Amino acid sequence: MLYAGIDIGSLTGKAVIMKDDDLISSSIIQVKRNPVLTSELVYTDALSKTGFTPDEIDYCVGTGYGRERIPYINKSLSEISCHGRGAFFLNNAIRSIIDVGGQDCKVISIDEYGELVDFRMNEKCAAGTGRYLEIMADLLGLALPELGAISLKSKTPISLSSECSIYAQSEVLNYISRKIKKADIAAGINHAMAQRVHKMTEKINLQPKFTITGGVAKNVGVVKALERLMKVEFQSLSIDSQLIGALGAAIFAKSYW
Amino acid sequence: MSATNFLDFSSLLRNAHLTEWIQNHKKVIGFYCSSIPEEIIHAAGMLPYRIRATNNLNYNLADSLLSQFNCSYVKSTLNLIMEDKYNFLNGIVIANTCDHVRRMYDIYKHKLNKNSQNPIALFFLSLPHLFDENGWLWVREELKLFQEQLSRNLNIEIDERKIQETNHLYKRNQELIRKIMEFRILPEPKLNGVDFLKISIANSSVRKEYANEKLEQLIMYYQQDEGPKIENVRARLMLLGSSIDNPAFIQILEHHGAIVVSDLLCTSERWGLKDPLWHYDNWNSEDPYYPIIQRIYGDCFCPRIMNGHSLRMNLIKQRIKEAKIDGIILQRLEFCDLHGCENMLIQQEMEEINGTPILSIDREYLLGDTGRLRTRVEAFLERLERS
Amino acid sequence: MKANVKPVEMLYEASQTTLGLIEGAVPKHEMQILKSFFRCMESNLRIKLEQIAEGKPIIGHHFAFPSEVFSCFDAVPICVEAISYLFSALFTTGSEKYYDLANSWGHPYHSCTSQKGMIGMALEHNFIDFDVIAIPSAPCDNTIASYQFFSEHLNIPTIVADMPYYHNSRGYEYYSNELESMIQELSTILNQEPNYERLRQSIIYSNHAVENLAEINNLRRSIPCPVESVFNPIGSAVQNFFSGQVEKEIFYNEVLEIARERVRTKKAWRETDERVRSFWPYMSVFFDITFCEWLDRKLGMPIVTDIFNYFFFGPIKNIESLDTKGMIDGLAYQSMEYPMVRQSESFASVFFEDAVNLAHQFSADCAIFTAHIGCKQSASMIQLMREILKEEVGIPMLTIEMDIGDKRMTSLETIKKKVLEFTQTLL
Repeated sequence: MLYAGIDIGSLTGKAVIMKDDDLISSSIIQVKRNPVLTSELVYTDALSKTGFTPDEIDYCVGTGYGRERIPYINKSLSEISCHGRGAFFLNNAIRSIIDVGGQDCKVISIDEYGELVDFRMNEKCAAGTGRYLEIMADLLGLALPELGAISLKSKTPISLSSECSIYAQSEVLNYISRKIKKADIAAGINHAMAQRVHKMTEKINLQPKFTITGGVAKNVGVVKALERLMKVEFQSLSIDSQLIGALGAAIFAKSYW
Repeated sequence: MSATNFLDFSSLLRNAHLTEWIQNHKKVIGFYCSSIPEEIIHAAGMLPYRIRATNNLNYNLADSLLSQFNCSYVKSTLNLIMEDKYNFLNGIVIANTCDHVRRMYDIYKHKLNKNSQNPIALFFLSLPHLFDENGWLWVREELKLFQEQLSRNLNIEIDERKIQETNHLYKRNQELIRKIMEFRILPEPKLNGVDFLKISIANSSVRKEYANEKLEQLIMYYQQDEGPKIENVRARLMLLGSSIDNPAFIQILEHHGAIVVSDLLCTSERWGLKDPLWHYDNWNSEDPYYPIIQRIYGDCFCPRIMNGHSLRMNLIKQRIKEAKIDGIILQRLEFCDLHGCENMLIQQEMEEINGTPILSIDREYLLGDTGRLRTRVEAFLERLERS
Repeated sequence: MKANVKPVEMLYEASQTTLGLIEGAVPKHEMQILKSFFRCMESNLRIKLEQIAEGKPIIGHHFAFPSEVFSCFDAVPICVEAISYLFSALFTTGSEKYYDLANSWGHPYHSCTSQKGMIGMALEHNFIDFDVIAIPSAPCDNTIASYQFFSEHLNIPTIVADMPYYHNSRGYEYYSNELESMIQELSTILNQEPNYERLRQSIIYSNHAVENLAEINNLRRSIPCPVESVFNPIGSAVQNFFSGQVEKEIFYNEVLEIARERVRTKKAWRETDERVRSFWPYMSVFFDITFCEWLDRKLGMPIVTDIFNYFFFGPIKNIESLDTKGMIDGLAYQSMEYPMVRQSESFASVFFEDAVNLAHQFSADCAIFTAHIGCKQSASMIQLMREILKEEVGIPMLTIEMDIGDKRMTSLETIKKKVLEFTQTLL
């Protein structure tokens, strides 16, 4: 049987195609001008790698910010449930998922069946999301993917006192003007980000084992800082961290079929 | 006009009844909170109108006076006032019910009235923060002083007979609202949370004689066998927390098939509370002020009553049973310290007794980011379904 | 079993260390007011800890509560807000972890850090074993809302004196009755008969403090101001922590002597000449009192007064012969006219009139308003305050949004930058 999961976020669209319990194809693209177009493009791209057509897909679940506008899905579910289910599918020892995307940060608790127990989401502030890192990377003249790796070279990380990303920008500019090393500034930025995420994790009763998903999971600096703050070790997942939501949606598709 | 047209009154500040009232050169007195003795305003032959932020689109004008730490609901009402949308008011009554609302009195006094060619009459009530005998006696005195002030300021006589008549009217009004509340909690509810809020808002923006007529029509409508019925309710929710006067917020909560069958909001179900929350036994029940004091003080569900938390919790638990609640939405307006802290206690206590699952939402009055809110609600419903 | 009072012990140690450091390292004529404060603080905390060790009950109280009332009992009063903010002033990360704990538990982020510090300490089981808590229902929603954590969640007996909004004879009388009821309730809970002669003595200390502060303020009107800016934040701590105790009288006595000497000798006592006199209609910054030194030494911009360091009342008269009712009436009046309560728990016209009055009295060149995130009732009045000070005093006002107990919201660096830029527009 063939199932699909589509996750349309604010910055990227993702699709996963499964045949029974095997992931046979996936795709990640930047969002286009509207979620419908994004969903069609990412679905088409994922399918094209399988040789199957949309008609052959038995059930499709949509999730993410733009889920309700996807025309071809059978059902929509929240990305919170989908991230929980996707992580659980890859490692059924996982009970806590921290998902940090472009504009959202979610902390998800699941039970031994992969069912949602509790969750928290950030409020409107961007300071604990990928957006914060984008702004800071830009100030440092770095590409976003470089922010994590460079921070590992830091010997004396700076400290950012302001929680607000707006005020933090002027602090970073101050450090830059003082010719502080980029590695040290990057490390400070990643640590501040991790602190913000950490605060959210404290609002909910989380159990081991832990994992981190979403685009920010690719920033090794943030991941390590968060592990230190939470005193945990994140379980790595066998697929791209940005695909977990779509994978969870596909798993749900199977259960609904 | 069909019975349900009354609900449309909630979508406009100036409804048909108000328009006619003003055209007949009658007075309108605005007020903010359910702890205002609107019965006395009514007895004085005026229309008590609950201030709300209906159709406000931004805070541009209000931001020039209030800070970023102020309640967005109060800010929204101020914005409308500054846009002249409330130019039908002849007066306004404010009490020390919260830090944001009470400062509206000062804004009126030092700015709005000062710069206006038609300043409105300002009234203030100091209300207690404790349920006790002293508080009861204080409120009694406040009502007397308010009545005298109203008479003097607006040159109107208010006698005891008129207050007694008004009390009967308001009692009937509460009974009718209570009846409609019963329709909400049926196994297949007759109306959803959006509609009940609309009814409550409409009820607070017209004279009670008119409201009672409309409510009676609505009750007949809901009582019909062929009347409305909501089937396949995904989850029965209770809504608690800060003041809500925007049905669009409840619409978001009900978007995925859940129904808000009960709430204990000050703009909504609190009006129809059946049993007194707190009661002072040593008072003459023949006193015309008695039912007013009971309503605005003894039945005050607001967290500003510092020794009322356990009474509020008991009522919540009672209502959860009565309405067969599956989940609670605890929402708080940003910068609302009263509900902010109370919600925290409610959540902790519910968790301690393994009570009804709760979704906590922090929000601003203007519904900017509805996508994120819908996601939270949907995830909550998914959680309820699987537990 | 010994009561848990770890926060008090920590503050005592911090006071001892700081006192030792500044008395040992700082020249005799420097930082005299700060030294006086820490001497009083060290002494007060030491006595409190000794009394607690003897088994005396501990009364937690709100800063706006006339703690003279507690002197009726053989008990130890400890101000909840003062603990939170003394932590933020004296420790590097202050009360930050406690604020975070409280927020994680569900306390709104925008609630006042003055109570939040203690809430966080309770959640970490690093709390004070209060036997009872006594508070007014003023001056703000945070008082009303936050204390329900102690009464409802921790089940600490909490007595509330309900304060009316009207500051007139009807209001004062009502509040006096509330205070009387509170004393009776305390008597029941503590199982002690109230000793009104101890109350009288406590009021005598307070009366002297009130008289001394009035004289200090007379002297602060001088140009240049003979009292350093740090007097303002530490004066707030003195009000709240030493209220009704001998240390309050001692502290103000010493400050008065220092100020008198400076006015008499006219000797320059700060390294920078006074250039701009700033009036702070609300509070100063509590999380870093070195900010005050920066204002004095770097900018020559003393804080000539703020909301906490001016009493709009005099001493309670005829205290030697006053009966119990008279004493309680006097305290009721004073506590309703207490700094911040007077301006916050009533109509804003009082706030504006007081600000205009003080700006004139102290020959202020400008005003700086700390819009503290916990104080919604004052944040609502910023714009009107700005307009009124401009119209009636002719001075500009800078507003700085911040959390006075948490440097992470608006850092000291940002605050200094804003003040510096503001000063540059004035000079």
